[in-house]
Amino acid sequence: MTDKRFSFAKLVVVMVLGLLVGAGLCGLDFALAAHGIGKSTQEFGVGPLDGVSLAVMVLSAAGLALSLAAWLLAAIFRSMRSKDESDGQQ
Amino acid sequence: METLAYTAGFVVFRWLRGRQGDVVDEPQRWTVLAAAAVGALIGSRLLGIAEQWPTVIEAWKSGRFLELLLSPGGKTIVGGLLGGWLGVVAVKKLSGIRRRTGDLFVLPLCVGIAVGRVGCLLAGLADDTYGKPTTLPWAVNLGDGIGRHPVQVYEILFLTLVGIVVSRSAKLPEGARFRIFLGSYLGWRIAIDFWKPQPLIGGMNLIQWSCLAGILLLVLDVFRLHFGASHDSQYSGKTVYDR
Repeated sequence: MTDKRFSFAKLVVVMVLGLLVGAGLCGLDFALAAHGIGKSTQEFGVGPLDGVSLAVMVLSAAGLALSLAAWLLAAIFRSMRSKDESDGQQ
Repeated sequence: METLAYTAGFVVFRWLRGRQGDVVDEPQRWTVLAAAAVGALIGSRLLGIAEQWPTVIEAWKSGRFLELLLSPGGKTIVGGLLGGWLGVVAVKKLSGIRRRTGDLFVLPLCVGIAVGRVGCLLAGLADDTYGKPTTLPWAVNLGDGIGRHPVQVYEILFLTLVGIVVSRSAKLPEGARFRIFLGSYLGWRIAIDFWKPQPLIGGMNLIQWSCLAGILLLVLDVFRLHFGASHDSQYSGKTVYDR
């Protein structure tokens, strides 16, 4: 599951953090809306940071899905290659 | 505050890892971190949505379910902890990591959750983590004119205590610190959530039921470790990476 050349694990952690930070912007959103910046503090309302929050969440979620898929494929490919190599040695 | 909580937790993690070293090498640690992060994300969101089941039912009936799924709020610490723990267990099994890697997360989790709880307190009634009304002298008014239990402050004090006790304890077996932290936090949440006005199912809210399930899993895990293979004697915690 680990790769010496490229760390998918690091990429996944960064994407998860991006997603959590994007989702966590709701607190700031509420705070800004409570001070009259933005339209509503209600659930499903439109806050001043909703657009930014949604963009960060969508981009990092897509990045997370892609990096997890790439990590899985790389792991499968690596295990197949190491199996081939061990078969070749025998 | 949520972002600050993650940052604080990560800074403490880096500091602790530099000071104490690690039982696994760096690529393995990143694998564990990634598993914990993905598991925590899924667990936190799933339980967060399930916890708001009356809102979920209402959103489903009014055709706003997708809107609810995409709304930024609705994450829970308990779901994050349980999801992260199960994620790490699964990935360690898949990748053949046999050392216990949770001890290094205890202090960062205490700090991160405590910082996050400051945010919960500042968010007030909007955050859905407030306490029940009380007439005690330290009751807080969150803007509705009602004095309430400052349950977020209680939790910060509890986490401070756990952090001090666990980090100052004499030499414990590898993995014991994390299990003590997880068990005590889940037990704490079962107790403190009785002071939160949440929808109940069978006398407890969904988070409390999840905590109970988590404690049962933890007990099973401890039994498995205790009566299982001679794993503990094999790993005495001598190997230290990246000091």
